[in-house]
Amino acid sequence: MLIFALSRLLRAFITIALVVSFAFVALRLSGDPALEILSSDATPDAIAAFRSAWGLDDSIGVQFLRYAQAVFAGELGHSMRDGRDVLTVVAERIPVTLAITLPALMINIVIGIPAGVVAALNRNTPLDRILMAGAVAGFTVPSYVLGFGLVLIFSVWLGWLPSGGSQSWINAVLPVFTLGVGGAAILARYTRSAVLEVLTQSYVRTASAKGVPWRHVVERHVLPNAAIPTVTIIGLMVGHLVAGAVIVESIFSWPGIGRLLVGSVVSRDLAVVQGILLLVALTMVIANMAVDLLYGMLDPRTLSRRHK
Amino acid sequence: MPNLTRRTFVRRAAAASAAALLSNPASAQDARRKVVVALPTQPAQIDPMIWNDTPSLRITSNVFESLLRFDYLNNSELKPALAEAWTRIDPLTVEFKLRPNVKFHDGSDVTAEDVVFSFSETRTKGPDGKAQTVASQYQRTIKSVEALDPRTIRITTSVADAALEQKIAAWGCQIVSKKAFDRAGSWAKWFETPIGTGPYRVVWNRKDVGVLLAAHDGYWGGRPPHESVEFRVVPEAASRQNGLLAGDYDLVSDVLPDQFDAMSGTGAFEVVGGSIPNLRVLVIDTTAPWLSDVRIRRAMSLALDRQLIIDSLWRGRIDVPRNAQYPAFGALYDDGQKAPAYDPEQARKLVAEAGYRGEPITYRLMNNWYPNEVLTAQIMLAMWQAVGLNVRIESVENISQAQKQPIQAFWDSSILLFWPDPTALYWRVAGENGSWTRLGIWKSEEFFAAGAKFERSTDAEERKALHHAMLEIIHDQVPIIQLHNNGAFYGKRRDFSWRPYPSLIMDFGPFNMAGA
Repeated sequence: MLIFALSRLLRAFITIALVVSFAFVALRLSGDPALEILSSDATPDAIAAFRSAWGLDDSIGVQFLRYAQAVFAGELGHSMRDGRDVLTVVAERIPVTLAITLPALMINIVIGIPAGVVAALNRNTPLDRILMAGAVAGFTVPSYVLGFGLVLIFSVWLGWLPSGGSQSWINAVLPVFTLGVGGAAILARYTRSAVLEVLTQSYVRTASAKGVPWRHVVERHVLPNAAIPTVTIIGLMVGHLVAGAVIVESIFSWPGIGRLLVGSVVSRDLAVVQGILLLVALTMVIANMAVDLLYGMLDPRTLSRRHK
Repeated sequence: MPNLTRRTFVRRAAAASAAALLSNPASAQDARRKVVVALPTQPAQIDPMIWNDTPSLRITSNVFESLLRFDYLNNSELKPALAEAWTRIDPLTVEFKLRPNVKFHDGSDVTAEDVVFSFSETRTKGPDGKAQTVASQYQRTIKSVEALDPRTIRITTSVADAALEQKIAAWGCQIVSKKAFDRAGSWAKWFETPIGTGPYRVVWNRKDVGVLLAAHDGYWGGRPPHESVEFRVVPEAASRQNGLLAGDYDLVSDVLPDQFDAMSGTGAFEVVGGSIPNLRVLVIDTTAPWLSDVRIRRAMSLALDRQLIIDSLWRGRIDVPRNAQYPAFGALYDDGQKAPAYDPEQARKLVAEAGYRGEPITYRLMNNWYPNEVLTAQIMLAMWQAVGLNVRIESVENISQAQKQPIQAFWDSSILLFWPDPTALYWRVAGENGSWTRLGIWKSEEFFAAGAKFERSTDAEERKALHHAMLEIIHDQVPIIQLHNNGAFYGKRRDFSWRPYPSLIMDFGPFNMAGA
């Protein structure tokens, strides 16, 4: 187990290092922050002073080494636009994004898994077809279409919900639903497939043949075994939610990490963009590690296979 | 309560409030609106010395004021503001008499010491003394600012600057409270609660949420017409439109022409605004192959049917100035100048004369940094093709990519008339020290000499002649292709009477009393 955890940690470190390095180089090759941030009439002296103050006049290699050293010391730098500490800037957005992504993840799970199980247990019935048609619609409609559609219906036509903003909890309803629907649809599809596969296994047939009540067969044999691929999908959903938040937060003017990222990329606020990407990479890696550990708990054979 | 929607509730509540107010006229007069405005962006900090970008012009202008101001409803005429009078002593010196009893947002009086401090290096050098401020843009010629007595300020320039009063009224010269600045102890703290004299004070500025301003009832110019103005950041144009139609906002900015019908179709909302003195241009690297040939540059300009672009993409609601001139230039406005001509025949002739045989000319195009930028580019491409010019698009993400050396191309830009004088237009960007000239893309000793003389001349007739000469050089050499004025359009509730200025500034104060 220790070796397994250590190997996962090493892979996680390499993943994060690659993401951060790529972002660092790509950002520096794609535009000069001095020209984007300073006034269009800034004098050559002011531009030179800006580049010098932010270390942009050094080579990319030197800049990267300095950045890596700072990151290992827990220092993510300062925003070029307002001078604030990046850690503070990013940290204050985390709860705002979590306020819509966690409920959305709950919607994914609470709607997606039961819908998938019910569809599988009622395979090829009208109920299955209705549920799966809904699921296909759910994940094929892009979030910006769904988001604007919901605003049109519930804000503009019905006047029930605000069109955007973050003034109260009610402002979160539409963004949460927009973020949650796509994930629930994907989860329903995967859960259905997983359950259908388990239903064909010999131990399910044996249990049924022995006269075990169907409900018990489903609860004790089908669902635990179908949970393994489903957990994988839930792990991937975290990434889906973070990516989705970038779009949904823009549509609904929700001031979370996604909005910060878009604004910082546009204004070439390099330190903030790097800070966010580091955070996103960390989140993804942690989510995947959590999934791996859950595998072990759900199916101890996974661990023993990895040790061989 | 069946069928009670949020909107119904709001309407009923509004009706009940209106009824209550009508029954008590005194209350009705006192009642002021809490205005909610949706904008795509906000200033990183609310301080006119640090930012003069579009969101700052819109928001910060309600918080800070200068010694002088422009009357935007009257051809940008110069008017007294914190100074009640001013006198040109000589070409290098202007004296200002401070208006008495003007109060800062914290209730303290504006003094000559505050004025001197506002122009001091503490302010102009900005945070950490890095000079990341806009001071050089507006205060470049100022040598000293001194208080002659508690109400008299003398500003001296190092060279004659005929546009000094305009620059002072424009931006970067707003007066801040020295005591409040010192009390804050740091720029970071100051940014949290900046203290000016404008009709509104800052309550908060939360990034990606917005800015809340509250009325400054001690304002010298009269009682602000609104209790508060909340600027909410709504980056998506469609979201701003939906929010207006849903009743979440009173006013939204940056309305695109394809949204006009949706916003004005219901009768409850309207689109206001129009052309502003922000000239959309194509900037040319005149050292690039073929673009170095003035015949090709002239042909590129003559090939463009600007009116067709305006009618197709802007519903005909913007215009083309006469060779980059604005009525606010006053006596300097040259009636003899004409808007750029559309003459495809002449363009074809010039292309042939130049011996051009279809070699690609590069157009570095950003993805709608300016409204309708990509659509305009597509139309122009067809127009250039029609006269035999083979223009190829090279997509870029931002302005620094567009200006990446070697340029060898042309790209989109705009010139905002920061102050109503020709020195704020072509001279600012294409003069000897202009930001485009520094890129090494154009040079004209004749233009530089005329411009330098124009900038320092205070003789009206001489300035007029030099201005004419400068316009003729640009018209003749075509280092910049003038397209049209940009438009600033707003969607608003019809029952919210606010007037847009021909400027990026959004005034919610008593000088724009239609808002009362």
